[in-house]
Amino acid sequence: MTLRFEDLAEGVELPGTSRLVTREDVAAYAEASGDRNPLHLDDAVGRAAGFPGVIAHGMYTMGTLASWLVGLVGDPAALARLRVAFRAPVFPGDELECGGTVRSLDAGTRTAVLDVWARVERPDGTEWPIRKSEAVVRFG
Amino acid sequence: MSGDLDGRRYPPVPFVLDEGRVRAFARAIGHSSDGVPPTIVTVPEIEAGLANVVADPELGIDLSGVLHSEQEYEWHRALSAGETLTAEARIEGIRARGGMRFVTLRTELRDEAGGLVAEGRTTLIVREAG
Repeated sequence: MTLRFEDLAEGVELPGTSRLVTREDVAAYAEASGDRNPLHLDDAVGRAAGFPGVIAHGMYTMGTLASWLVGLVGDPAALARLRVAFRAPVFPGDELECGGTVRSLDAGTRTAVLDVWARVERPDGTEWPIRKSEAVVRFG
Repeated sequence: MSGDLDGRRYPPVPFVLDEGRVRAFARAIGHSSDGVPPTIVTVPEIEAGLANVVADPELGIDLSGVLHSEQEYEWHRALSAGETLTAEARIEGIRARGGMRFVTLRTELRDEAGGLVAEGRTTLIVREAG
């Protein structure tokens, strides 16, 4: 489903997406991004840092969020700006959900400012790896 | 001491958006739509910024103490597979607070014509060792 500027209004919730995080994808991301910090590859290092094991890169989650936005609008040039705060770790086995709502629209420039987030629901509660974050999307 | 390093620039780093790299990056993050995934700019940004910061003897930063706190990108156009970008990073600011350092890096990514393609701002939290 390709989102159009005409589909948006302030407060509208965007159709989100969800993806299972795997250890293999995190390792593939380490390789593809050049960030081979052992925190993302070696469970012992993850545990030494206080986590159950390896954690995904913050940029892995941000990349997933950016891809979701670009796919939503159907145009790789659409993403003008993305600013995120990394609030909580993401672990292999997490179901990583991306979503957002429209904060404001500018009809003159056909741009939308979106509040975006990444969320993980776990048995012991909901965590927000990315929160209070914003995207600016420009439509053709 | 914190103010002295503000503005320090690191050497520019070239990065070719070769198709294989783009495909591998896209697959890893589940990017299935057309075009180059925008956050691939993290690759030259890391090389130009974080890698230089960690290697900078005057900063004394150990990677194991670094947490990625915030990240911002602004893209001025879509990226093209096959093009070469050059990333140049500088320290925007280092502030010490409560036994931690907050390091902000700014990176500019330019194309072969020198045009500004994207900009990044990275905020790192560095926990001091010991």
